[in-house]
Amino acid sequence: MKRILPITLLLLPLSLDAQEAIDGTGLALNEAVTLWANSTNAAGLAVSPYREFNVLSAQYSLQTGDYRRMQTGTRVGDLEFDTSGATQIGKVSVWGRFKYNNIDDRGASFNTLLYDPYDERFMYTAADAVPGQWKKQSYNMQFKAAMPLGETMAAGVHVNYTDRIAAGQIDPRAESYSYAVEARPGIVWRAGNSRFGLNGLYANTFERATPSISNTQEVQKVFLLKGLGNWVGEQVGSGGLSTMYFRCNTWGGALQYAYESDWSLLSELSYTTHSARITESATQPKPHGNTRRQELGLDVAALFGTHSHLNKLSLQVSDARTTGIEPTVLWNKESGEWEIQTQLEQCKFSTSDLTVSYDHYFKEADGYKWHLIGSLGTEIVHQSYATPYSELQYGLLCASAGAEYKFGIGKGSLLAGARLSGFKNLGDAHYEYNGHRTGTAPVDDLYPHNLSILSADRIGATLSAEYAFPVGKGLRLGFCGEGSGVVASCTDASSPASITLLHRLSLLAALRLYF
Amino acid sequence: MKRIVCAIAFMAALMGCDPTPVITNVDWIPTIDESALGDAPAPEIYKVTLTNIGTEEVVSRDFIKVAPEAFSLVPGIYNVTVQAHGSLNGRAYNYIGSVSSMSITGKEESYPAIKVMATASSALVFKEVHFNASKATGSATGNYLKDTYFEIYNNSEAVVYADGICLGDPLSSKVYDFSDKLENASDYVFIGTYVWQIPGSGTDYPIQPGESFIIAASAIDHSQVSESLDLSTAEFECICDKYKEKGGQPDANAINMTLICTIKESALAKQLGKFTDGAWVIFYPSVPLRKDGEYLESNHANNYCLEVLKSDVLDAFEYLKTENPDDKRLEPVLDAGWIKCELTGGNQSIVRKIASTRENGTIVLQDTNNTTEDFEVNAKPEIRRYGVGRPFWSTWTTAQ
Repeated sequence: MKRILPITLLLLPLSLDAQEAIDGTGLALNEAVTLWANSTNAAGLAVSPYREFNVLSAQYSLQTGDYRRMQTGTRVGDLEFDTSGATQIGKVSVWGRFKYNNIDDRGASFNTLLYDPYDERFMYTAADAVPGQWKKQSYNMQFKAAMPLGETMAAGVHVNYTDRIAAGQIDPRAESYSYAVEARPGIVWRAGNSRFGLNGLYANTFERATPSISNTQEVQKVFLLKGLGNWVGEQVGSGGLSTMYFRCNTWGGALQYAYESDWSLLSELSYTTHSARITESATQPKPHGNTRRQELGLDVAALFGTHSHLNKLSLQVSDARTTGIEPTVLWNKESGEWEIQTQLEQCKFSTSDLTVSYDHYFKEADGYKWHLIGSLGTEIVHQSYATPYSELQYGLLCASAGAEYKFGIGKGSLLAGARLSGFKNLGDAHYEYNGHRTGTAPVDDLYPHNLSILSADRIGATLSAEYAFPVGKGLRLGFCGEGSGVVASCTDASSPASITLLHRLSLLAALRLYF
Repeated sequence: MKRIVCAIAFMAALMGCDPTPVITNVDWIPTIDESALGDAPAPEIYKVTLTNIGTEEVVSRDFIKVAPEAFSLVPGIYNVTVQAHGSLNGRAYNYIGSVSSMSITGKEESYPAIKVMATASSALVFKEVHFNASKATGSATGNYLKDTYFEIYNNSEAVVYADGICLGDPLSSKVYDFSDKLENASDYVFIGTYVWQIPGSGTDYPIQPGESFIIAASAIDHSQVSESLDLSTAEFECICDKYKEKGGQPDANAINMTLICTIKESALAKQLGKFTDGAWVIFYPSVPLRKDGEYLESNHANNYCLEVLKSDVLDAFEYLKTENPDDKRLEPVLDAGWIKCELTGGNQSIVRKIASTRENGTIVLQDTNNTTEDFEVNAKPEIRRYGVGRPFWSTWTTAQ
């Protein structure tokens, strides 16, 4: 933290001499029209640079309610500090961001070790059925820089660094430290109205989680998860589970094609492969499992319109496949190390998403008066375990629509928004387990519950408002509030006839400074 | 454009279309080596149990020697146990053989044979054990650790004598190694804490068929101070001078056991410790035991042990706090299974199942050298369950 903060503060207030600060609508429009900024190729910033901006935000959000997966708390509070900005320094276009989150998560279970228990790459982790409490902090710093290389070419790089710590507060507890560093160098070259881009990706992710108990009289049982309800028994305390290490190397790249005339188009085809290994103990590493994850994505965005209207049509398609490989290990007394005797590819998880979205802006001055939003998408998830054969599957149709309107109030403005979203189960959502762990918590509680949450028919509504007003030359202050709720019709996977209505409420208050 | 289409097609092919993993099972037929059976009759049917050490899944099935049928197994590493029971001339035999960490992946050219040995069933067996202590009266968290006990039963049809029988807790055969300290180390089981011995000249404490005796940590009425039971009727208690010095334990009416080996001095403070995770054996030493200060140091520094011949062991059982077979201490030849127990303070006992009842009404307890099959957990400990008899020399009886 001591090192990150000064660097960030140096980088982010990039344009203190800017004229009139843009407000939230200007910021959103800036994001929308800077097509290359939404790609993974930072070199694109030299082609379509951001308009200069700086924004500093402090917000607190609170989520409560029972519509949640087991690993999410019944009550989650998040204090966030977020600052970002973009400017031009000579020929170099730069963008930077620093974000800090302080999270208090209460009531989550089935996560003994990890900051993010939903990361499929680290599926071989420990879980316990005790509702716990987590204190989490995350620091994220990103930086993009791009500059032209001659008339037709530009180069850039995007560096993303995240540092996170988490501490469980109830036995069995853990202290987790993790980082992820990611670098994406890229180039863009021009041929007529067309531009082509190519970028690479390397990321290194590491998490170290040390489980412990405070009450040494009560050794805590945990499940070492294997996927879809399979597990082996372990304990925390009394010489049980020791420090776990989660490591992942990520490689990837993307190709971009853009067309620019009186309308613009940017398409990106990306491929990423992750190779993760999970071990216990640093001095006597015991393999717990490896995962491979491949992600294929296609993003297409088109901008068209007039001086006063802007349309953005987007298509996002993604497919992610995770393979879980389980080793059987034995301790070799002679060499003093754990040896892998056999490895089996037991898990195959796939997630496919498709989303089409449309944004329409009625522009005015630096921002917009109206913003209409609509999207339609699907999500298909299929997970299987080889033997004993087990399966989890669901599909969703998702739709959302919303609008924002900016009222002028004196020198200030009030941006009010409303959004409705709905998810419809496409049918055949099921969890089937055929192994010897029937009757245990992961099989009877964790997976059926999470499936009923993920596959539930549900509707959500969000109301938001931001009042922003100038507080000096080049400085604008915004007060923001947002409330959203979800009501879901959840089905018990083991008893399809029983339906329960669950809800989740989120409230957010923020203070934003635009300069 | 063509190139982009080709790239998409290439990546789609790379990621594969079928998300279902496929693992082909391996057929395995056990090879049983009966060369060590001696005079015992060879069984026709063995019960074969395989524990996959990676998944902890247990597969168990009868194996008929004359009509062998293959096991279809997930490729992996297995602990294999074969068991059978038989009788000859009125004598009961237990047959047991095991192989640890057998690789069954389909790549092996052959599999090791499982050597089976036969042992006559022991007359004296553990009948009931209160292992995990209880809670102090009125306390939700305070554990009361002095009310553990062992009940030992004469399961035979002949009189046996309790004199000289020893009680000890073995170390894990997987963790501790003494092969460089002792010739034929595999013939021994290694005791890690202490050994208590029943005193006597050899005929002082006869146990009739159908009778049992109690070895209590402390033979007092524990129900006065904890949610436990009255052990003031126990025949023996683990009280000695060292205990009196260290813990101020009351010396009740029961006969005091003799602490003949103190291998781990620090463990004395815990009465009959190992409340949630341990194994115990009763044995009758055929050779003199080592004395204090002479114990063998294991491959783990400062961890000492007393070696006891496996052939001297009368009975053994094991209880684990996890379901991980890697944690098992005893080799299958002594005990092929284990029982899962709750944590310290659970006030539970494990009790051996009844196999049959004789014509004279005495019960025969199940003894297959497999704790998993022979014992069950009871929510409340009870001494002399099933109405078993008490020896005539019981101090409590004579005191009445």
